[in-house]
Amino acid sequence: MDPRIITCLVLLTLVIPRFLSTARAQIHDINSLISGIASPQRNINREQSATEGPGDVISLTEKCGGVGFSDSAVGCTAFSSYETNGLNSAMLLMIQDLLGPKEVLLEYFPSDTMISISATTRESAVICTSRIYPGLWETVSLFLRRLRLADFGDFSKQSEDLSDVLLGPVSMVLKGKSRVVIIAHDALDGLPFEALMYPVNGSLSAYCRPRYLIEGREIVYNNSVTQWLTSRLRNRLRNSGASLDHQLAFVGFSPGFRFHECVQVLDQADHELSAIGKMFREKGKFPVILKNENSNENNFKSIARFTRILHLATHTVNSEGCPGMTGLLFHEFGSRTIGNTTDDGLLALQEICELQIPADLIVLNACASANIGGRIGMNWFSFADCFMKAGAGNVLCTRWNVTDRLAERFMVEFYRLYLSGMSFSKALQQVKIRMITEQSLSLPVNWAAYVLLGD
Amino acid sequence: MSDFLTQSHWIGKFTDKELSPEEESRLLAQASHNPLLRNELRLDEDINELFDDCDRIRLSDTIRSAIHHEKSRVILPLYLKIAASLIILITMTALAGLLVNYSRQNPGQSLIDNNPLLKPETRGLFGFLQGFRMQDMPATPARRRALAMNSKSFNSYSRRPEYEFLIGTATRDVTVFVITPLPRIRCKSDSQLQFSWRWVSEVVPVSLEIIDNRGRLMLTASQMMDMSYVLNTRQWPRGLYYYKIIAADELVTIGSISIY
Repeated sequence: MDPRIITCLVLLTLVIPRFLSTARAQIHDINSLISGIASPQRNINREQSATEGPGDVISLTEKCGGVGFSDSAVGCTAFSSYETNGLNSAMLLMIQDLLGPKEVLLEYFPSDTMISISATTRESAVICTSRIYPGLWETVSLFLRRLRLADFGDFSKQSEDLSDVLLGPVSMVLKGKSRVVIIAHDALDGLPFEALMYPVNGSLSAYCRPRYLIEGREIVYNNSVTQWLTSRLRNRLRNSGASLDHQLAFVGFSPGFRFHECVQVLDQADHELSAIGKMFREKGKFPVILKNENSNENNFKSIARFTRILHLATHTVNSEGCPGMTGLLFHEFGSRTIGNTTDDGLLALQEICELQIPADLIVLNACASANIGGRIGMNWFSFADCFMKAGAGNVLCTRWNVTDRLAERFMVEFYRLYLSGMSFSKALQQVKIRMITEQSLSLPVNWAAYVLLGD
Repeated sequence: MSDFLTQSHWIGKFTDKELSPEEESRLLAQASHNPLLRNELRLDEDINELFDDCDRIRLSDTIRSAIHHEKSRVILPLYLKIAASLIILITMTALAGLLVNYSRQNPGQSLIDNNPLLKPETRGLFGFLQGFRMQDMPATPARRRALAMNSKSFNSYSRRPEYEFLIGTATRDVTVFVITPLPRIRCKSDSQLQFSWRWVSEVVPVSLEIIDNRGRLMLTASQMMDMSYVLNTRQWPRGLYYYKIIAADELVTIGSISIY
């Protein structure tokens, strides 16, 4: 072939995508300017009045240029919330040091009139605000309801509206970041951000296909900055510490509930653990699988502290009126009187908090394990919170009810990806992407239920 | 001078063998007496031979270069061929991607939607560039589902794969234990279906939702504190329906009712 033709083809191949990406970037810049969103690279310490637009950057600090927040009225509101949570300048520097180059930490503080969003990356820290439009909380509620109750309907409208409010103001910070740590307070706690459409509708050209946020970024949740910091430091210490030979690679519990009168049988839970155990064995790791009568509360309490990955495929029981009755079920549940905290088959919230479980990952493959909880002392704790309190580095849990078959399928795929060398969050993201592209599993009720708390 | 020119004329003709035999013999006779003419004739023949040789050299050069050119085409390195093929392939894919993704008319839409191999991620080179797709294409699974529902092959008994996966499996929650009905029911259009359940830990309100296979809500019985509900299907059109039992705002079970 004529070398000139080859050269032309090479140029053509290189120039077309570049031209398109340049065009996209330009459109993005124009839209950003219009909506008043500042670029972190260009607008250091830029301040705007909260009345200027729907998504305003209140203050921006750069790591090298000193840390500090503006004195503007809205900025102070956001900062005071930060101070309430114990975040000062030194802490901000520490967060920035612990964040990876591709990571961004987003913290949401909803108030009566606006949502303050603090976005921290390794390079910069920015606080943006988003105006709460009338009906926002109804949209949140409808969106959540449609997701968790497997609604057929098109919830894209709600998803796009929420994305405008929650992701729009920080779209510039999200650019180039592949991992997002989300800390959402108050009314936004429990919102599945992965099911929001991103790029935000309107901030990019009409030629953009909206996608779920999870399709482009790994997402990790935390309840507070302090929890995230603790989790990250704990994981770093664990990774750099002494040998972990004394720890078991994987311990799985599956009570099955075959002969229980009042509890639904979990047929798939047995298959789930068998398949996961097989994968671990193939990788040369020794799994401990405890099924049926071996999956009891005593065994759990004795073995949990020596485990790197602890997996529970069981039922949750939720009793809002009585926190002592809220817990995870084991085999002996129903056969003995509940209340005997050692072996009644109900691992209650209080009992979890009293345990020492320094596991890398705890998988609570039961219904709504991130949401079900109760008061312990003055504070409200979910199952996931209790396990974090007990020393777990990460907790993989569910936001709403999951079916037995789905739970099995999701977890087998998750462990397959994890054992292929992916991190927990990456494996979780990939499972979700696969489910989105598969028609029978594409409803968010299936994939958006699972969330990773921790590092 | 004129004599020289005349001679030159004859010499040229002689060399080119254009003289008649008589003229040739006359010229040769003259040359036998004239040494100058003899020299001229010899010189002219030498020049002619030289020209002939030049033609031959040029011809051989041409042949040689042609052969060389042929050889150079044959010995084109394999990696160059592969690279060239790849570049052509990528360019063609890019152009195909552009055609499919950016065409206003979007003629390939039905082909894409019906072909599971053509997923958004694999549509041409621009599948690698996230976010590039026409907005009027069904971007989300929900929109794709809506498109599928409007197709001609969709009837009142068409199953919804998104729900079929969830049917016949318990949730990992023991708030409510569903006793009846079975996950998949077939009944006549004037049947009575009983839904019954019991609470495991505490009493929570239970809701029942029935939707048709297009996702339209047919019946809602909400906040029930009884342990059963009887559904009469007399007025219901024939077709496939899905029921959902919801307790404390959480999905407990999904099943299907086929009314024939």
